[in-house]
Amino acid sequence: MITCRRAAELISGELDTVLPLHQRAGLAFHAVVCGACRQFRWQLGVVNETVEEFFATAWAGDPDAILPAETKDHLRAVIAAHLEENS
Amino acid sequence: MDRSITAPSLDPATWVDAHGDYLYRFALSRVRDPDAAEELVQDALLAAMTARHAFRGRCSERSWLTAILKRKAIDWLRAEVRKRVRHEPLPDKWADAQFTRAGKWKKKPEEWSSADPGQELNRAEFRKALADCLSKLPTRLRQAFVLRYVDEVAADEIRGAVGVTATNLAVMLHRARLRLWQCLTVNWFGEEPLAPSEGRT
Repeated sequence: MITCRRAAELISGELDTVLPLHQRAGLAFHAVVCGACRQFRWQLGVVNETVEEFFATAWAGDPDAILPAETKDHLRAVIAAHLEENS
Repeated sequence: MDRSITAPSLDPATWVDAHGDYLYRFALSRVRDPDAAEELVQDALLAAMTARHAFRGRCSERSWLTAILKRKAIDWLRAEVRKRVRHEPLPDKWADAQFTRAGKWKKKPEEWSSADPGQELNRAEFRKALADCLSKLPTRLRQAFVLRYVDEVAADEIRGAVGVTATNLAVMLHRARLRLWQCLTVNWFGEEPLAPSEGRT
């Protein structure tokens, strides 16, 4: 019988890969008898989905973060020079 | 070179003012490091300058620039993770402390109250909570974790990977998830939700 610690690792692992049969069997068996790990498995699934959604949609990040003014000046100059060169 | 052959919707001279902050935030949400984020924006804009004649106008200027930046951010993350993954797994007292010596939960996963992140009303608030929890992850774990979710190629590699690197990466992803799960349980799904903030996505 695997421990909850091991079960938690496998529950995370199954989100990234198809686990080998013996690991799947170990986890399935553990989940039958352990309500805490069933709960964790469901909750980690929710976390996984929400993280996927978070990065998939156009997340614009922290609205207070702005590109520093001197970097903007520098970039404007670089772009202008580049346009000049190619005009 | 005649500028009229550039697709009409691309105007590099306005990029910094029109998209600079947006691109910076996008980069920052992926790499967290302000210096690296600035550098990535610069790299992306310069790459876009060089490639601008390939723009066909199938998407907006901003989407096009963002796609270039996304690629740059992924390359940066991959390099960072590759550097660190060799030294993993480091001891992780926090993760160890979640379980007893016999491997049982010290504090069993509790039931979540019904703050459903999928509901339209909650969405912006939830994204804020998730962003906060992500930013609390230790840097090396966050980088591996973000890469797993933003890079289809990395995700596939993890799926098919074997050996030490794969094992180490799996450990890192697990530790990141355990923290994120715990943080969201406390800050979002728990009994006492965060005080409403005026933050927006």
